[in-house]
Amino acid sequence: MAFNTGAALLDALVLSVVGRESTYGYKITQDVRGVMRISESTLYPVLRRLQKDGYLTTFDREHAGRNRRYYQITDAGRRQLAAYRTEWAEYCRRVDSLLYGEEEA
Amino acid sequence: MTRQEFLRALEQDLADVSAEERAEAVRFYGEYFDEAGPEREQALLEELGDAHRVANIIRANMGVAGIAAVGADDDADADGDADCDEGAGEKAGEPAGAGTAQSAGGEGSVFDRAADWVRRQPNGVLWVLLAVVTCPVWLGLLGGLIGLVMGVFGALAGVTGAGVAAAVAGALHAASGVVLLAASPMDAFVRLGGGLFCVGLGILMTGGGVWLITKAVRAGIALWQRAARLWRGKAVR
Repeated sequence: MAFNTGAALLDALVLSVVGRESTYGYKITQDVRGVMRISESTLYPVLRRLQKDGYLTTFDREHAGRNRRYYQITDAGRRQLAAYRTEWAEYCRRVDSLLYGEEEA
Repeated sequence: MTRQEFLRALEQDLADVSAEERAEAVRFYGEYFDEAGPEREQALLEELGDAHRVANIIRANMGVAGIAAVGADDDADADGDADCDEGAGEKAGEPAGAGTAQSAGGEGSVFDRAADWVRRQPNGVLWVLLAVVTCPVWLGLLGGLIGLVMGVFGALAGVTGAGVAAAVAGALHAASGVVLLAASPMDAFVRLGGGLFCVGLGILMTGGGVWLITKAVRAGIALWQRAARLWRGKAVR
């Protein structure tokens, strides 16, 4: 589980957004787009996969006369998110040490 | 293009995935357009681009449960992205299969359409097609096999039957010898001897035939069970 591929980071961000508050696909995409430039079609497969892996579930709610499907994080999802957060902290620490580290004299 | 055209094109393009996946994808993007609202519809359509591309992205990520998904960032968005850009490692938005079909002879060439059609067929249909096309081979082999099995059992049955016949004939012959014992003893002894010999031979043949038949049947059953176990093993996997 490394952040070399941006895909793991996407998973983590989606889980974090949904973990804060159950929300719907469009909103999730807009939140993530606030952080990184992704296409409008990027997150659907991510959400679908997180669902199939058991980290997210869905429920429907009516809004303005139409249906809105909300995503909700599961316990397994929360554990995965915690793992991602730890990994991220470690990853940032290592990147920082290389990026900002003192040059050897 | 309108939102309806996009959704319809997406639905058609996803004909090769399961009905559930297809319905989910169409529902998601339908709701997505709803949220964006009519003002953003055109901009959204432009960004989503071609329904075929979106369908490919969905397909590319379908078989990869548990593995990191491949994001497909539009090139337009990718300039000057920081390294944490999700497109960085893999520019593989178009999976090889669907991608080559598109680029090969230009859109809509006969081969592309044929390849697409084949890809859309569920596995069952393709297997049936294969079976039909190769039927001379496997029908012939099957016929030969059946012939062989019937031949073996026929031979064994024949031996058994002949044995019974020999035993009965022999017994009758020996009996006729007993009857003649008083009248012409020489003849009688010949008959007795020959008849008893045939009885013995007949018993051997019958016994041997029956024994061989039971062995063959048992071997056949064992083979069948082993084949069934292998088949079930494959299905479980």
